[in-house]
Amino acid sequence: MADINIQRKKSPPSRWLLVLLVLAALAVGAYFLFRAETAPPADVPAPAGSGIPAPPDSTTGAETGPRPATDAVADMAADPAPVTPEVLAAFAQGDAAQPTYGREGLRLLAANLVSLADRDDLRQPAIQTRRDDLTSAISRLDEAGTSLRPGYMAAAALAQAMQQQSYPALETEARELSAVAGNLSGRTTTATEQQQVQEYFTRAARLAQALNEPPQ
Amino acid sequence: MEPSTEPIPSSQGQHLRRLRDLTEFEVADGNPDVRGWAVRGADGQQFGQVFELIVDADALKVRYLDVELDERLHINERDRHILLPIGVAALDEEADNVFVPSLTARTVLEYPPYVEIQITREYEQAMLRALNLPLAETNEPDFYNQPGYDGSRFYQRRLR
Repeated sequence: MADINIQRKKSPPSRWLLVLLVLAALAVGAYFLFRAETAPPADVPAPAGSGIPAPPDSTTGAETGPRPATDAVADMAADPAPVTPEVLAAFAQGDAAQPTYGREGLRLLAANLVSLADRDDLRQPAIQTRRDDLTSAISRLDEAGTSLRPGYMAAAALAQAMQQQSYPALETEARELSAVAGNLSGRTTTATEQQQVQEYFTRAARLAQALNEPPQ
Repeated sequence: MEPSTEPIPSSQGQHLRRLRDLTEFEVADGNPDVRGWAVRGADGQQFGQVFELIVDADALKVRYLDVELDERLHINERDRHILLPIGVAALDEEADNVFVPSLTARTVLEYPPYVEIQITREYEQAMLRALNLPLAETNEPDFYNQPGYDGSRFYQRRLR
């Protein structure tokens, strides 16, 4: 028999159920936050959309522990391509007149050198100090009015420290790179300055190529 | 769609309330809420709209439709509401119409107005007379089980 029936209005969800849902959401949030804090930090993250490949995983080549397992948070991020010496060399031959040439070149160079500094045979206090100097200089690149010169110098110094540790045959190249870096003004306004910066990156790419090879 | 000819007992002693006054109740799931639907007579002419549902909160059933008559009938505002037992109406769910074969736009003018006070025995008698329905002599408490309040009739008359 059909007719118009009425009913008691449905009671809203239990207050305890809502509390449990909130607690569950907080627990999930805390879980991911904790995982994010314990994950190894990226060394020199490239800004999104800059077109610059991000540095390789800092644990590349390390054999002191197992490679960190990828987790859900890491999976959500784009998998960055490593900065190879070939990338550096190609960039060095680019248009030095571009206003971002020096800055982007420094980021690429730093990404490659920093990943090298984490290699087992290069884990020496002197190298780590140079490495920290370079990451510090790179981290200040986004600050307004920051000169690129400290970055050039720090990158050359790190390359030279690694050369002195394991690549004695590259002494001349490393010394020349430091000399070129010392002559840079940090600006790329004039054609001469642009040429000097391009020469610096060309030499740096060549040296990085050699440093990426296993020591003799 | 002839109106019921069965006797309809009194509503005295029943707990009838307007649904809007029962804040903890609503029309049951799967049942149409006919409030706002057009009310049409045997001639198909609209003479009002369902204004409110009068319900038996104990039985959880709608007993009456409170119908507000159209202004064009030129009835003064105070007398513009009437009550219709649920069993005398037919439902056209597709077009949101409630048909009352016992009434027309003309005969509804003779229908006793409902002024939203307690439903008295006298009002019921006048109402059932206007619908050409007999009034039972009994005062039994289950008087809504009589045909004039039979909801199944309401749906049996549903138009296709």
